[in-house]
Amino acid sequence: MRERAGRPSVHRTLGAVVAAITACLLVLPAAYAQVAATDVQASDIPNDDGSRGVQVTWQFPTTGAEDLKGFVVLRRPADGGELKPASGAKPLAPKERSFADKGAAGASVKGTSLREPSVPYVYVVRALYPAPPPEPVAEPSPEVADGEAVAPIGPPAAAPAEPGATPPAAADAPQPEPPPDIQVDSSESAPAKATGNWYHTGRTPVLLATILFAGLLLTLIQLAKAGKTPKIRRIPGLEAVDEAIGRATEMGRPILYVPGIGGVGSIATMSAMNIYGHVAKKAGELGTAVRVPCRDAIVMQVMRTVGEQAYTDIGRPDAYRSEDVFFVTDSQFAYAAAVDGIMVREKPSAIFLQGVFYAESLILAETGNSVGAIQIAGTDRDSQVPFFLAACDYTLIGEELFAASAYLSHDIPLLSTIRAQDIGKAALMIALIVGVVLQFAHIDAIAWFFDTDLAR
Amino acid sequence: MRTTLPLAICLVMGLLMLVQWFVPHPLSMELFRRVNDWMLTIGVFALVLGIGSLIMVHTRRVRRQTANWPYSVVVLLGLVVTAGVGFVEGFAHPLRGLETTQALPYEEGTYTAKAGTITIRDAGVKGVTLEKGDRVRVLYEGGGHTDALVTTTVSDADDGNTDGVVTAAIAAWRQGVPPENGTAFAVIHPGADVFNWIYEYFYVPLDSTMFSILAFFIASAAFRAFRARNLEATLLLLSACIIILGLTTPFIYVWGKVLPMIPEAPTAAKDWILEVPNLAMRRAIMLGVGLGSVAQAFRIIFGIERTYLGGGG
Amino acid sequence: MNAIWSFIRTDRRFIFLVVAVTVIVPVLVTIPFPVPVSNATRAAFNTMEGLKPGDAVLLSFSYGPSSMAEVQPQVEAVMRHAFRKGLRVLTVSLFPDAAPLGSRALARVVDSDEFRSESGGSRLVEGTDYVNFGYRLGTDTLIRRLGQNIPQFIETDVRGERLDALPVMQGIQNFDQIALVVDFAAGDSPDWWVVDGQGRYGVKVAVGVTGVMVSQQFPYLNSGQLAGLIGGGVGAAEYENLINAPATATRRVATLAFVHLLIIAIVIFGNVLYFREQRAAAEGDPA
Repeated sequence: MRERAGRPSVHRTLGAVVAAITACLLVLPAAYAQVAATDVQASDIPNDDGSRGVQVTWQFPTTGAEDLKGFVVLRRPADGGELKPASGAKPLAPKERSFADKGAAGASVKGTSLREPSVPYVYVVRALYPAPPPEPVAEPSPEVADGEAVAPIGPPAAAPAEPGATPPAAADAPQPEPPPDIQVDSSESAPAKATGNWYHTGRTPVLLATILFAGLLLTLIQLAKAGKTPKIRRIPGLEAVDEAIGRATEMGRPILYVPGIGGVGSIATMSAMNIYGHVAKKAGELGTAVRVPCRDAIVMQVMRTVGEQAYTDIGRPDAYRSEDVFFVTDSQFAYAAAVDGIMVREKPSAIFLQGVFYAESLILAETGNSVGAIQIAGTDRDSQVPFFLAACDYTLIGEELFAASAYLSHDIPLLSTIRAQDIGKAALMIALIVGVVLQFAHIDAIAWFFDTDLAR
Repeated sequence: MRTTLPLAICLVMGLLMLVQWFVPHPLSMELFRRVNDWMLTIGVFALVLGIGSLIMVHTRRVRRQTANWPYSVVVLLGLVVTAGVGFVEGFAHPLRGLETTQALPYEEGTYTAKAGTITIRDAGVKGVTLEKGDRVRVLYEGGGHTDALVTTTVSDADDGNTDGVVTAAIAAWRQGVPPENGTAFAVIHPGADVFNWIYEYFYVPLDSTMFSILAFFIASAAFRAFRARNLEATLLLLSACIIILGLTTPFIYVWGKVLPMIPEAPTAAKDWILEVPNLAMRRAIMLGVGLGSVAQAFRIIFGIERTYLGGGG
Repeated sequence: MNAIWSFIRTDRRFIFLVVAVTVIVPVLVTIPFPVPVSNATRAAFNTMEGLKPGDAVLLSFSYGPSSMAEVQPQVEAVMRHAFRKGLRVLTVSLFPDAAPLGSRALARVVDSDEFRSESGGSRLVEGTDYVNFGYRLGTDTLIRRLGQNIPQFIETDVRGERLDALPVMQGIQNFDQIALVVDFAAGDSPDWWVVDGQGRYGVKVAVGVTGVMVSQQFPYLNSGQLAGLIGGGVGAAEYENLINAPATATRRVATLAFVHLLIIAIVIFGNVLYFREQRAAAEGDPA
């Protein structure tokens, strides 16, 4: 019985020894083993036309591989082929965990924005470690008799240099090639292909805002048609339009309407055209000429159409003179000089400066002031507003110009869009205030909505 | 139909380009590229319309001898001369404004070209002076050529004799590579370049003069408008003065001497006004103008705004 | 005396005369002034300074002869800085007026003593160190096209050389390879570059503008959409100061300074007249 009781303790001891030896065999090599990257994932970079390529990401432990030199990302076509470097000749830094492979994108088709179909690739991330330095080869020790000096092991000492002699340059001696780095490859990723995307997810906030605003616009128009007509505050500059036209008629002098130097694609120029339509109607009724020097030929054509229509609407198509709307030049200051010349020679009693203006704004406004005309200006260029404020009798600032067509025509759908703008502004103000407050609590909900980096 | 078709085109294209912005696919980018190309093409046609209008208006004034008709003659003369010179010089000389001397034939050793110099050894250059701005053109068999600009005036007599050996410093050969195996060379003197002369001596001074008038007008506008009529006007006046003084180096210098404990105050005050209240105001106006632009764009796309068709709102 | 006073009060030509004298005198008599540097100009300088030799910088010319006095010194100062740093300089003009001015600035800087080689010519080689695309049609459309593919849309430089054969263009396909764009503007082009260049393609953008446009660009500078802002003639003088190369703008600082002081004096004078007239009207005495 005593013999049976001793057998379990021997087994236990033997097991512990085997376990310890096994652990040493496992742990000790691992302490000196090179680690590979893991979890290599490859995917198409989103929100592009395919030109940005494929994004490769991987995991790597932050400790235990301090001698890591860097990474090389390799790729091969998914249907077979050799692995080739995708990340360039220079290894990626050890801290990198991702790489954007633009080479995976399809080639662009010359002369177009299209791309050739791209190929699916499989990726491998190669970790580079420095090779251990070569061990010095030990020479067999010579048999030494007692008392004899032992020659030191190593290369023979260089002969002492003669005075004046140039010592041989170290660089002249051939350098041994450094041993190649140790390469440890990860497992292959799943195939991935660079493709063009049909929707840019980063622009979702803009899409939401656009849909909301457009929906608001259309809803308010429907409500206005059902009887809820919005009210607009008084805009002195637009109230004065009729007064200015009346003054011109009384004095028997023409009106000068300057539609700015913007193109027809500019919102301010379109607003200027709207106001011109109203001015042309009123002036046509009173028999006062309206001279319109244009800087853009397409604007000139549209202004002529607007003027013609205005005179037709008041029943006096024969009174319209197309030569009153004319092209001057597309050079900014030549245009300003020409308009100044018209002001000084013809001395209009009312001058409208509506649309896009740049540095010539003060030249025009001051000259108009010097001839004693009543001046009504309007621009969306806020850098020019101070000049108009200083030199003109009335100035429409920013969106007052855009509201002009609604204001003058009292058209219900147009008035509704002004209301929609105001609601949009109110919503923006609330969003700004709430967003700033939330930022103090590090909550990015509102800030995310306005992040322009997302939309790139 | 006269208004329906344009409205339909406006609606379709407006919504299409709106959707295009959200679609990064290459087909969408190709659509964007083609629409941009059309915009450029249509824009150029506008020039034809404009010039036609200009000629019609001014010839009518000259014919009828209306008031100030001589100015119309000046306009038409300017148009014809400038455009005419531009066309003639543009087609006649690829290197506009240059006239060529007789080409000197190349023989072995006739010229030696390096990165920064060319040495010409030929009887044809005996006593010749190469002026700064001349071009030395080496002609290749088959019709090609390469040029370099002479950067310093040099004469055959500079080396003490007129032996037909001239070494000229030149700006650069094409892609930095000196020519070899040329079959001939020519020295090209820049001739009259009337078009650029018109630009340099008419257009530039006139344009600059018109802009410089602003200096006078700003002063007169400041004299008339910057009056402390009420609180807002006074604030405007004070802000303007602070910004102007913050940009005036003598004032900053004197301030630094008088109040050395706060030498940066004028610049700091100017920067604060620009970076705080000015910035806030600019952003507010930009937001308002932005929303107004979006609303106006929707009005045009949905056909609510039809003024551009001549039909009013 | 009353006639003179009446003239001063009512006829703006008096002001024109005073402005003319104030501008002409400092031009004839050079007076050096120190030039303190603003934050906006320093930001532009630091952005350029942070680039590495071999980086590509695109200079966009969007101004004309009218704004040449303010903007041309900015162009030359920035160009000189770029060449000193060994950057690859690409230039393009968005307006036909700007092309000759841009070429003129290039010629002045490239042929200056600072970059002269031993043979007498410039050590900066067109096609290797810089390239001039010249004027290109399209304004904001052009910016979008350059963002997609530069060599595809601009096939040759202003001399007619193919871009793909030029060493300076090696490796440059679109804005991804452009380290910085500097737009020299007198109009709307900064907005185009911010929206289409920086916003759409993510390229870093700095601008040099006329004095009147400076305050308009501050929102973009503050939000980081602009990497720097050089404002007017004063901004050009500040940049020349930063690169230690005083030139045209620095010489004009005296003129600018005196005119600024004159404006202040005119404003004060105008208010004195205004209050005098108010008091006279209140006392019932017609002025």
